[in-house]
Amino acid sequence: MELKLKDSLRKGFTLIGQVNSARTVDVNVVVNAVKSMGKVSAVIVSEPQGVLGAANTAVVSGVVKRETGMEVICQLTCRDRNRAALLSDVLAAKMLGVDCFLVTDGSHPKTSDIPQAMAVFDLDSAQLVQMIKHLSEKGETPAGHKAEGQLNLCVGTIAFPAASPIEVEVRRLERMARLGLDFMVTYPTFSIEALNRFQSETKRLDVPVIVGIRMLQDVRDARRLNEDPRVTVPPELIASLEKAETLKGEGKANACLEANLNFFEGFIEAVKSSGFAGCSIHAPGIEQAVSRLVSKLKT
Amino acid sequence: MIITVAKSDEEVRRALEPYRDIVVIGCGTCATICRTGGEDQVKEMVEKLVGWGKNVLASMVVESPCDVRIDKRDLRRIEDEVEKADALLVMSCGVGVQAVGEASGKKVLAALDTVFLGEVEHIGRFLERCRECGMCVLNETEGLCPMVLCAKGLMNGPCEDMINGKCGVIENDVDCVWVKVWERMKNEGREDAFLRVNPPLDRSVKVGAMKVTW
Ligand code: SF4
Ligand code: SF4
Repeated sequence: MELKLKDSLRKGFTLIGQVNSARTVDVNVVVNAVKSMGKVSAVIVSEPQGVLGAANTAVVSGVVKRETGMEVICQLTCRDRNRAALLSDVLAAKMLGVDCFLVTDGSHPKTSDIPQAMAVFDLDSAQLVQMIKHLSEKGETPAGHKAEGQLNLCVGTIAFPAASPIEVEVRRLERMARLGLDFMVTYPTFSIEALNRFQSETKRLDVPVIVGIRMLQDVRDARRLNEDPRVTVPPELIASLEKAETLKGEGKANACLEANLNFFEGFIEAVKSSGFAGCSIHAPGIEQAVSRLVSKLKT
Repeated sequence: MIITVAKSDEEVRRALEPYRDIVVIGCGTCATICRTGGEDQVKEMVEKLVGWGKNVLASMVVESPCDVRIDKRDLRRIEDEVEKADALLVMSCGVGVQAVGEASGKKVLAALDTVFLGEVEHIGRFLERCRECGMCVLNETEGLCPMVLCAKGLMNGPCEDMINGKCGVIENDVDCVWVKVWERMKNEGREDAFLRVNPPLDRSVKVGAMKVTW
């Protein structure tokens, strides 16, 4: 059986959404966010940044899959789980119909809201990719522990186009590409030039690159994101969000949405013409904006 | 070198609370170099204890308190005081504290925190270099220990926290060790070595209370 996501990435430009899990017992927080995203081919269920102990992404992915029927990509990090717990989550997710995993090392607990927690990192992201590929192809872990049933899994990772030195990042990705990495999603990027540079460095790896789009709630959200040294929000986008600050309530929300749509419509077109495999759109707290953006794009 | 730092007065005082007659033991090796358990620090500690109303029966710096044979030999010189003491306050690494306890059969208390195995750049500047993993991987990582120098102990870095070649987790502007590994490989013309996936570590090697015997 061919996996839908792999198939769709091969066929043409693929739009997917991204939604964070949360520290909640209310599944509707996540499910409604996904439902409001409109026509996307798949959705990434990710871990919220800097927050430990959000509801397990494997379970949430399964719930999203059941409630929406959408293809779900489950983010797994090596931060909190040893190799056995990771295996357990991969199998449980697959049992719930989730085939795709977005694997990262995960940020260190020290930089989270529970800094005292043990940093596990029993496996690292390369070893986890290796484990998932091995499970998928051979029905067992690299250490030879068998798992019953048809696995058929797909695995990607997050790439950092703005990383410096870039040659180290490219080699890190090449190491994973050699393991059979199925796709990469870039960390939020707002610069087509940076993406094109990244593409010229990584084209030879022959792994589809999905560009990470991060929509911005308002100017505060933009400024907060800009504090992350791995992200540069363009000044013109900040300026147009700033203009919206003179308005209130719905007027402000609409003006912010317009600012996002104006920027990203063209940006996604440029991403598409540059030959990227697709975009993953994340709009935390304003998921309905994804639907507006997607409906504006020429398909 | 085993690097130690002093516990706070408050913590030492709290640990000593139930005891009155105390013997203070220092360390003539690592803790002397760290200036946490040498002659001067032992002397200062004795003064503090007296100030706290304790009865200090004796004090001495044992050449290397981590060696039970040396503890037995040196403590003989203050045998009576040790015998009478309610507790021995040991100013050495945790190994020394436990070895003194074994050698003397007495209640022992730790005056120091053992922080790491490190190199001495100069007195007053000690740098963590090893976490005794029991399966040294320095031959795979260009002589740089990823267990210690990488905040996540990754065997295949770098990770998403690498910012401009620095580790975004470890404070004080420390280089990401995986960038350094890459640079060393590149300088030797072995770029491809970076593409190798180092296997997961065998955590069963370190289950605790390890022994080396022959
Ligand atoms: S790999 Fe690091 S922790 Fe392990 S023995 Fe070598 S230096 Fe020590
Ligand atoms: S930035 Fe480098 S040193 Fe720091 S945790 Fe990541 S891989 Fe390890």
